[in-house]
Amino acid sequence: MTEFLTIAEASRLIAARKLSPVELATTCLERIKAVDPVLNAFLLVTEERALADAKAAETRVMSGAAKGPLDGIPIAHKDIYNTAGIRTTAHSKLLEDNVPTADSTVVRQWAEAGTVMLGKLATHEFAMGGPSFDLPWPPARNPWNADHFPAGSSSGTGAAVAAGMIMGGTGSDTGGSIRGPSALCGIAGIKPTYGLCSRAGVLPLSFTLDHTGPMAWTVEDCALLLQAIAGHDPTDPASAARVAPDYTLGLNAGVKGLRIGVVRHFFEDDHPASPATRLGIDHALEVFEHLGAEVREVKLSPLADYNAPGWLILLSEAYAVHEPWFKTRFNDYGELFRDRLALGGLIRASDYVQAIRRRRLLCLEMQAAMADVDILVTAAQPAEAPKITEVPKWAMLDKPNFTIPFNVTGNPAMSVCTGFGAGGLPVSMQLVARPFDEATLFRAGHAYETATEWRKKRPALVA
Amino acid sequence: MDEMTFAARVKATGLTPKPEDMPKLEALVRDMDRAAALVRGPRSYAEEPLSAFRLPTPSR
Repeated sequence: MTEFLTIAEASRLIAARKLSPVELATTCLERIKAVDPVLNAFLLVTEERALADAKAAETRVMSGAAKGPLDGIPIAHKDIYNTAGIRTTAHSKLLEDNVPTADSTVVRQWAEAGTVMLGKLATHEFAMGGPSFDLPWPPARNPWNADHFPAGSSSGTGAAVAAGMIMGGTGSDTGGSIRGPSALCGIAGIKPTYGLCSRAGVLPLSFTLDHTGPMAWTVEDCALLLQAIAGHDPTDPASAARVAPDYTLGLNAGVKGLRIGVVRHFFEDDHPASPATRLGIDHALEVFEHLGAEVREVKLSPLADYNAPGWLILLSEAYAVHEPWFKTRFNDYGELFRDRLALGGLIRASDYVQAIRRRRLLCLEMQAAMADVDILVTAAQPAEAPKITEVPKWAMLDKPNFTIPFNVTGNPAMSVCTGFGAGGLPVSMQLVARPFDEATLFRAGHAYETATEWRKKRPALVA
Repeated sequence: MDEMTFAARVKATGLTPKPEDMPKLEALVRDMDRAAALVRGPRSYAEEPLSAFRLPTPSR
């Protein structure tokens, strides 16, 4: 087997009966045994389940009954996704012994697509408190340099995909928890439009900002993974009644004629990004122009104007979720989650209401800004990954982040690796599209990845 | 807000942060109050829709 394959490549080989799903799962399990003791991406490896899934996939393929492009593909789930009969902890002492009786919708959908489940992945505690060193399991580390932070909260998924332990995984994104780890781990990750993918059976953080979505090595792989989970789910009250298009159809259409708006003030004035981050974005814009896209600058309200309602809503809603346990099991939470969430208890109801009203105006602003452009480009993270021991307790509030604006507005947004900065750590850009236009995001991201060399480089730890 | 008022607010929530974290927590709450001021604006409540995401159909 080739050392590293994308989902698209493996899928073609499996369909042609040139790659055995059992061999593929075994390779991933061996890689987990070799590198996960350093990276801590997995909270639980479900080896027996993985081999059973892989054997079933192999039987289907050999009998001409393969389910589609995800049949036999090794994946794992962030440990806030309920898995029937398999421990789901949210990386927290509070749920150390929690074994759900039913799968979340997304877990079920990927299983029905034939994926091979390798286990449950590290997260920041309840998708917000991390990196923490006082929980029952250690925090995940960055495969490009294990002394560094992989970002979060989908930290285990970012680390496991980048290290080739899995080909794709689930993340969740309330303020950037798919796009942050995708950016710092040098992979691709999409937060789809609010309402496109079900949150049913996923432990909530903030009802009106939570999104589920896939993370993978390439944009094309994200498209394949999203295809299996996009669409209406009546068991999620926020699910949109829409039928998803075929994301692979326009994937190779290129960007000729695409109108790209750069939100430059976000990463140059509002929160100046590192030189390598800016260089990566500028180079990506040159690539897009070279491929025939038209690039122009777009102005939005300052980043802080999006962060203010975003954090007020997130912290208020998260506090409402956790208040009963906060009153009875305060000291069972890790310090980071406990102290971050405490802020939510101190927000006034009227401020929450005003934040929701402001949110509506920002949605209208975003709609107007995107009337004449097809996608926006901005930063996903301010810089390369910091050391894991140097992340401040309230880091998320110290400076405005680049990702929460699109949780506030609900637009689809994706991180794409744009190269490497200080110490060989990845840098990235964020692509944003109109609501339910994930296909254009994939088209642009795939065109960029195909025109550049970044997808050929893997972390030295596993390469 | 003065220290007593803030301590009382924290106590009212039932939270018990570490004493050494109280100054930083208070500073963050002040930041949040400033953020909250950012989101207030002159706008009629009659204009509020049921859903933040239900936007007008684009005219183009």
